[in-house]
Amino acid sequence: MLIDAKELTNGHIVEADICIVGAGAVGIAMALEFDGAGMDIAVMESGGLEYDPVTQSLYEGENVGRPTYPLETNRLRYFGGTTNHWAGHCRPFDAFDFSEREWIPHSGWPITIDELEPYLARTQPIMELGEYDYDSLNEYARQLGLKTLPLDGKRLISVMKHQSPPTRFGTAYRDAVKRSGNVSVYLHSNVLELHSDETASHVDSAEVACIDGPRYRVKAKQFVLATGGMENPRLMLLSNSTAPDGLGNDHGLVGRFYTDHLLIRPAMDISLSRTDLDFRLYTGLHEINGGLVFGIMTPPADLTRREKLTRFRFHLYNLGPGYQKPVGGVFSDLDGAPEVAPISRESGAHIQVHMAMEPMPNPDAFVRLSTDEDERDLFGQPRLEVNWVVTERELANAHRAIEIGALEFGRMGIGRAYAPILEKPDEWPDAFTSGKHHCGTTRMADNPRKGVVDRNCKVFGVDNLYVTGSSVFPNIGHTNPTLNLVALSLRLADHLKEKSA
Amino acid sequence: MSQVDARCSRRDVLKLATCSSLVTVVSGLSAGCGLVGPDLEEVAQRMIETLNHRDRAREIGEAYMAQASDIRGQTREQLAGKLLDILGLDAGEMSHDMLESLEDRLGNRVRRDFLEEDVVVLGRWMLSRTETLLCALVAAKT
Repeated sequence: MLIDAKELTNGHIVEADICIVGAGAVGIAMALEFDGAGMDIAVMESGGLEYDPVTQSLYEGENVGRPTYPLETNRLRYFGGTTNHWAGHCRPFDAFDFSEREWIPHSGWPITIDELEPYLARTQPIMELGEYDYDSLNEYARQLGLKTLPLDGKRLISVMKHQSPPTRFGTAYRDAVKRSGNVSVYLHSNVLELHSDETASHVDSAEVACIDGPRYRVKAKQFVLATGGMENPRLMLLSNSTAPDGLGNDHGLVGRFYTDHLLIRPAMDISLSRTDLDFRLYTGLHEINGGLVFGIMTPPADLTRREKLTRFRFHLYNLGPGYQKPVGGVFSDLDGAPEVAPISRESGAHIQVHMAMEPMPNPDAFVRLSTDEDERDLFGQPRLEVNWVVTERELANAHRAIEIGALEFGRMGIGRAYAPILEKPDEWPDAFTSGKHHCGTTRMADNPRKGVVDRNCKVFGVDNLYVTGSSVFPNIGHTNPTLNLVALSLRLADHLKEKSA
Repeated sequence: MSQVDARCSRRDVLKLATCSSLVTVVSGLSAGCGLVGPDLEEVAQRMIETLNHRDRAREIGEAYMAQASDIRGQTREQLAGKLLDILGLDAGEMSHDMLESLEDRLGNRVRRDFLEEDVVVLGRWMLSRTETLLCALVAAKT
């Protein structure tokens, strides 16, 4: 059911087995896991069915660290959430992403890929992707009549991403929600605070308000936060009537370890020195096994171990006018050294390489409630301050990653790399930005001194509060988060079903 | 003859020995050996000929010379000798036939540079050491 909460009366009480806060990819996918399961699910969605600038303004906040995108532009606050504008790139984390790496402080998940994999496969059709297979790029290429690049596997390997249409959860699953007899999505419902018992170890209810509408409460046996990497910690910090530092924040970790992918777009241009190269596997989308796929390049785990790097990936984009066409007189067996005049970037044929790099978990990077009295939202609640921090080590990682890519394009005889960071390794290039993948702010751990939620996404110290989505990712690898965070939420749904049974 | 002895490799002599007439031998001696083996200027010229856009190569070479003090001011002959060293060739052992293989040898060496990270960052470009020297060769004075 879809319910406009503006039509409720002040003081109304909704009762449910599970209250899910947020109707984005996670909230909707998780709620529909309970469709017909005999439990009442109440989903609180701040927005309506369409974009509304007033509701969107609730996302406003202040970047107090390294400048990045305005907070209200990163995400979308209406039914379907940020899937209303996501790009749709999907790839699971690799097994290596879950491991503790001694050269990366605070790294490691308390779970393994094996525990997530069944849910990744289940997520695949939800995201309108093809068959769950991320390992057969070479075979797919053969079937498609395309070629993988002849990479030195000690440096880089080609791997596959799947492309979601991209699924707009708000439209794709609207009818399923409407039809459901036990899943109710309450639109225009802003959860202001979670009220707990006197020991702050059990959530009793959620206080909800509509803009220009009623205030009401939700009472539920279990509460699940699914509002993303910014708002999940914010709501926990705002829930401070009983616990002054916020719910589940006994160790001051709520909002800490804020991370985001480090993007350099473009990281480098490759001036091509050959005319017989076919990059279509990487630059185009290819239909196979009921879905769309494309190739990317990433280092093998051994290289990151050997060089003490974080993970990264390269995407290729075809920019040259007709890179597959003969370029008169420029072919050279010397791989085109004379094609790359240092004074001019003029080139008739080049490809662009975009890089996304895994950040280092950093306790000094955080989101927190503003103490500035002027930084209040429509409901008078503190906005967020976001301190995005990037370190010299991460800059060195990025420089080395681009070096590796540049070396490999030269070794393959494909072309020569042009990259600002090669000239100035101690400066982030102008093309550096964040990935808008807010992660780590309620990180998962096996120990409440190291994280906010346990391996089942339950908040340490609060017996019926769960957090899911990218905020629980302690490490984020190089890949896009959406497929993984939906899978994690299906896993949580199973856990709650078992617990209920 | 002593000049011939000094500059003609054993391999070249063996090759010449397969020739059927004295005339051919004499001709071979004059074309392939001492009197005649390619000097460094010829080697340099052949290396430069492997490049398609020499005007751009000169720009790269000039930029490299401005950046690398150990290269600055070197003559074409010196740079050609350096490149032969990189290719594992002895200037004294060079024959005209070997000139023909320079392009392949240079190409292979360039790829090896990228494998072994023997590269030069020039401006924002990453180039192999060998190809950068080759460009310097274009820019160098004779």
